[in-house]
Amino acid sequence: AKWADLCKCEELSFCRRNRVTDQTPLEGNLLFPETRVREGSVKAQQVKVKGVVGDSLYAILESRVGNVSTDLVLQVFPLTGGSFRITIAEEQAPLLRFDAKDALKEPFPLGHFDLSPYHDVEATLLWNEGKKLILKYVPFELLVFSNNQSLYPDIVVNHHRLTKLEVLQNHSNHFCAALEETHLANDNISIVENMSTNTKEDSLLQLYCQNAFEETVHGHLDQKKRGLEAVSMDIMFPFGQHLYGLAERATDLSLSFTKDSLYGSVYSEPYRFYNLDVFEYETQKPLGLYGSIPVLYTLEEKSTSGCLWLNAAETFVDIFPSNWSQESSLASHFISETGLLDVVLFPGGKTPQDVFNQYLLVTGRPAMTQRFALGYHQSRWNYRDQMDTLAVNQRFDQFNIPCDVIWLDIEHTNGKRYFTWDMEKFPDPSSLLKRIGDNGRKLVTIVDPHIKVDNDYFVYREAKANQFFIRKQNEEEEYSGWCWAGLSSYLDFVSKKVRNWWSTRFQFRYYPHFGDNLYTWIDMNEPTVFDGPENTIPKSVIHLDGWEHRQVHNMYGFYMHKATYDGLLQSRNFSDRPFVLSRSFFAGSHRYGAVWTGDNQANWEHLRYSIPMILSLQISGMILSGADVGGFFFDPDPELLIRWYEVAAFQPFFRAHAHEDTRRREPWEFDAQTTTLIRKAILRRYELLPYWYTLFAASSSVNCEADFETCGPPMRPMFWEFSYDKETWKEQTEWMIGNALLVAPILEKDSLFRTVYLPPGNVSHQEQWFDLFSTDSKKRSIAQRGFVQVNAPLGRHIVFQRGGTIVPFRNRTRRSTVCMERDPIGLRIALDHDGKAKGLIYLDDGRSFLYESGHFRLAKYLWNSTGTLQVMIHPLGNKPFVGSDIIIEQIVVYGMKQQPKRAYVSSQLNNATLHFSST
Amino acid sequence: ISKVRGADPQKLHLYENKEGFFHCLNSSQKVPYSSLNDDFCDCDDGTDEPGTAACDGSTFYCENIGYVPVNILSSQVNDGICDCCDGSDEWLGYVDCPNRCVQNGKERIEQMLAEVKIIKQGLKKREELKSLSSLRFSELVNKTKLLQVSIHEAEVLERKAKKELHWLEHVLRVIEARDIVANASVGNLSSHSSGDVVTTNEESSNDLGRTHSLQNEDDELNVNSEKTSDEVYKSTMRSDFVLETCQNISKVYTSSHMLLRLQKLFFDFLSKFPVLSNFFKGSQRKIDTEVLKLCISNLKEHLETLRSELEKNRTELERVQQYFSSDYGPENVFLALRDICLEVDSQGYHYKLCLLSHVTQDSINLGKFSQWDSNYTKMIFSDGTPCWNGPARSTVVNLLCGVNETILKVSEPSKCQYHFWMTTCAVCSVHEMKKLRDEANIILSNLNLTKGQKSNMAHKHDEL
Repeated sequence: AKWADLCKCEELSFCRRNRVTDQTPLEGNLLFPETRVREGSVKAQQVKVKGVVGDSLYAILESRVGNVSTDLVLQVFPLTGGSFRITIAEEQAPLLRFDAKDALKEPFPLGHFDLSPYHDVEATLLWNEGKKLILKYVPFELLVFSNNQSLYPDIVVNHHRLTKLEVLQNHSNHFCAALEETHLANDNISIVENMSTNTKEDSLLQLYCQNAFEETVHGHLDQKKRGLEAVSMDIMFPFGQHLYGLAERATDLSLSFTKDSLYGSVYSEPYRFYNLDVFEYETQKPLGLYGSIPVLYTLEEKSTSGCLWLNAAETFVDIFPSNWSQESSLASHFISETGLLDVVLFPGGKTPQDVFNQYLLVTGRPAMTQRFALGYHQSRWNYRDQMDTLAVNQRFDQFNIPCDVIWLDIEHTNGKRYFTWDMEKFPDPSSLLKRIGDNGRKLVTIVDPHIKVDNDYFVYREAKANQFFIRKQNEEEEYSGWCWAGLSSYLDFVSKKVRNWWSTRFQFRYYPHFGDNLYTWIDMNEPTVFDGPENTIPKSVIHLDGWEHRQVHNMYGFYMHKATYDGLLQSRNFSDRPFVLSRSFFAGSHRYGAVWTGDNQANWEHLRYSIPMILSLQISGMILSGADVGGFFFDPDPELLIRWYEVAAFQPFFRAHAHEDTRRREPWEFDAQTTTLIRKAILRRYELLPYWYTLFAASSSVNCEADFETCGPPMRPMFWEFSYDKETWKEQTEWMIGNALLVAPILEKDSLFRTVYLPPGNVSHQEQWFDLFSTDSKKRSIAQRGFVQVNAPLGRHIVFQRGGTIVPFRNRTRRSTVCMERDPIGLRIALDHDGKAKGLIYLDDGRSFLYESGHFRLAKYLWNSTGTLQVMIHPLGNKPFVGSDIIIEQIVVYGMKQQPKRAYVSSQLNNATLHFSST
Repeated sequence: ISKVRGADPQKLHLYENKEGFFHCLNSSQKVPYSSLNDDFCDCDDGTDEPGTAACDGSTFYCENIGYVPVNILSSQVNDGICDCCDGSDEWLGYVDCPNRCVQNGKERIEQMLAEVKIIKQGLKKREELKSLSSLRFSELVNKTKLLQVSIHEAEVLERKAKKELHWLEHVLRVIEARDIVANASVGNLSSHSSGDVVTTNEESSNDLGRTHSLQNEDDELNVNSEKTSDEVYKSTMRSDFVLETCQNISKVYTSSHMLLRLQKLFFDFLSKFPVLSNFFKGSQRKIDTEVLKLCISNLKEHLETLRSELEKNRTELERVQQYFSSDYGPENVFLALRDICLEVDSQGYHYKLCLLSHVTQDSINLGKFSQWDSNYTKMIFSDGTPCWNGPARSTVVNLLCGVNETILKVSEPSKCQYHFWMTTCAVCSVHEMKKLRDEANIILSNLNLTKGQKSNMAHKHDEL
């Protein structure tokens, strides 16, 4: 679908009703009435604060239509780590609202509130780590302070008075239904200034009720049996200079204004969250792609904060400028079609890391990765057959190119019946797995959520017998639509019993040939329905637990990911870390594995946008993420392909993949020089693998702050490390790996050089940078800071190491990560201004959970200004594993002020021989 | 110098200790001798670590006693995977690598025996194919010559017949003109001046003058082809009927002076064409328009036959000559395979491969033969039916030595790019066999065998 084929806010009644722009200003206080907290209703109940919120729109309705309950309950829960969650829902409602709490790590930890003793006009709440919250009653407003001494709040909820919840009512006495009877529906409702209040109210109510129960969008009729149920809230950041987050879409890292030309908005449409399989998606459009992580970060020099909009329904978000005490600020306005009004606020602190920590405390740490997942992945739709797959496997050895995983797309199945094999093309999958395993490699096969309607297909038969499929609106028949398998039914992953059953599908006895080195890829899980509205399933279909699809849509892929993760975990008796790649995702999906940016294109624009897309996923917790190397659609020329490898080798999930209609493009498919240059980029990945693995272990560690030096996402926006430096705020052509390496690849055709920004540091700390892969050894010494020009013909990787850091590496070329596990490591030590540096390495068996019981090594390295390298081993990591006794074979020090004369080792444990050279 | 781990024994002398230094093999760099195989890469060219994985781009020599010694990538040393059949690459013992060399050697010898058997049969078959090809080649050459001759002859005949036809048609027009004049004279004598008739006569004379020039051309043609021409006439004209009809001419024509003159000229001309003149023999040198018309129609029919024959022969020649535009490899061995079509059903499709000609998948064209690879082991077919949104389909046919022409496998590695694997004796080579023998020699010489085993293996070697 092109941008033009996708729904816009104006075409959807819930968004139309709730959005406010130049063209649709507030209409008095009717549509966006004053919401107030009822005096004396605020109570602290154990750890949450509960208040009753009135809504004057419904007060009008109450007086005019009757039978409308207007009491809403506001709840505020403190969470450990200094964030808190607020929900607003009907006090008594005839129907339930979907609670997206599964996105959070359950049971999510709660902190402790102190409610001020006097709370007649406003309530003050204090909770851990010096955070403060002021709840104002009339009008309702929440002021959040990251520091209780501070005069200015970091977050203000409902500053723009856009908080609203459309109260659920029984259809039989729904006020819109009543309205339809009393006032004939009129298509041309207009509001005129001099209307009488009553007439105006009438007209407004009619406008409001338009399409309450059904609407036709892009030719598809959507019937809404529950009527109006949207929720909306504005969240303002007084210190916001830039906003980040709202993944996934192919837009700039720093979010743009979306509303009015007045503000110089880049987009006139709000950012949209509606998980879709967008065919040949375009860049620089606010459309939502395959996954939704409605988390926002805000940044200025000294302060950061954020929020997570916890709602699985279709959602639009406006970003617009605001103000607070003469400060220019940023605001967001979230509008969801249905669901609980539910938001987690992160008062943050000084750096983006503070917000990230709070976010991960709520959504959980990313799953500990399989080490092989950080290697190179070779995929294609499709390796045709067993012989072809083995030939690809063998070619990696022939060209001495490391590769960890070979992927099989949908054609490996028997007619897209997942969990089966096409026995003509793959006559002996077990032998295939063994041969690939013999090289230390893994195989990944694909599984989709659409199940072919075929009574001879065991998965379909069993799921049908158990009624595990999503049902039509009438709830009587199972829903079916078209996808790869032809007419298919869709498993209801939102239901726990379906998820449990799905997990058992990965038992070796159910999935023939599913073996120790076979892992899983789940795709089309937005879900894709070729003949459905916007290529997905209709919103009105019914889930087993009674939910309409509209309530759960954005979490469908999340639940499938969760069930698949659990399946892999169980099938290997909880001894092997699952590896599951998913296309669709939601906040919290990082607990279950990897994602990629879907069906991108082989052009430079898509290469460039892979960076902000992945960075945005990184800061949203989805740390194992990447883009298809080379671009999925169309054919890259060798230059683009080489440059893409040079970019992706320094991004977390490194997989080459291509559409069925493209030419073969494995590393050896072009000329010898192309093979050499692609190999060189892949080797760079393997060289830095100990560092990547350490960063991933840190992100996954619950003790990260205590045990690791650096706990951010492995691939970081420049602003992550240099939030005080405005130059980095919009940077999206270079990034950091951890806190130590700065990557600045070539992103333009025919380009042989580029400008790199090397942050100079600040008053208290001057940065030093070392050009690691310069062909000129002199250039490897301290680089000029600020904007520097670097020449980079094909094959020249622009990576700078930051002074003060120590980066572990391995420089032996092996077939795969498992073949490297006993190899010695090296350390690259880049000294800071004071001649000091520190860093660490984390090692374990790379695949099991034994690290939890001490089978790991965590070594901290400290280089002091006298030129001594100290090694400190984490006391808990003392049990053995393969490679636990490896040695350091090489130490490279950059930036020594004096030529050292000798080197020696002082240790109670080891004898060591030293050779020493300097350049 | 004793063994250096991972070093090729033939290059052992290069690893000597030269005054405490090791000289890197591919550069002028030298490093302390203790750096040799110390599990750290010192030489920039990576040659100081033949026995470890420390240097990228270096190789490790596996002795593989009982089998073939090989150089593997150093990156495969001590990586937990057994690569050398003698297990020597995993000398740190991270993984247990039992020595499989003798077993491999035996298996390989057996395999080679089978391969050699096929090559031998294939070579024999290839000889047959070669003679078939050369026979076919000379047949093609002969056929070309024959066709060229008969085309040339037919062309001559065609031109001659065309002229004759022209002339007869002309005569007919003149006679018809005479009849018109005659009719006019009879019915309307007083109203016509004699001048009119004279004019007509003059016109006729002019026409006859033209006829004469035609006749001259025909004379020239007649020199070479009179006989053939007569034969053709004999065979194609129903002479008995023509004769009979022509003999009646005199009965019909009670002529005028002009007609007589015309008749004279006609028969004079006719005398140049023996067969035609035969038709009129015995007639009293008179002609009838009906007979003339019949003659013209017969001649036209004849010309049509001649032309279609010519067209057929030309097409045939073109077809035959097409054979010469293709490359049939060394000694034209592939000629006999041309137009042989092999069929196979694979993955729901029916494939038809016509060697050196074209390939189809059901009704879709997967390419026309366009070229060979450099050593005549791949037939490349291109320019097939274009793919939707994609390139024209193309096919590569990989040829493997075998006794018969059989398709082993069809695959589509890239969309619309097909690969076939087929066997044919045409690619069996002595060179291949020699390579196998060399390999067998290496394996046998690398075996520490007992006498009995030796003679057994020697016997096998002889089979090779």
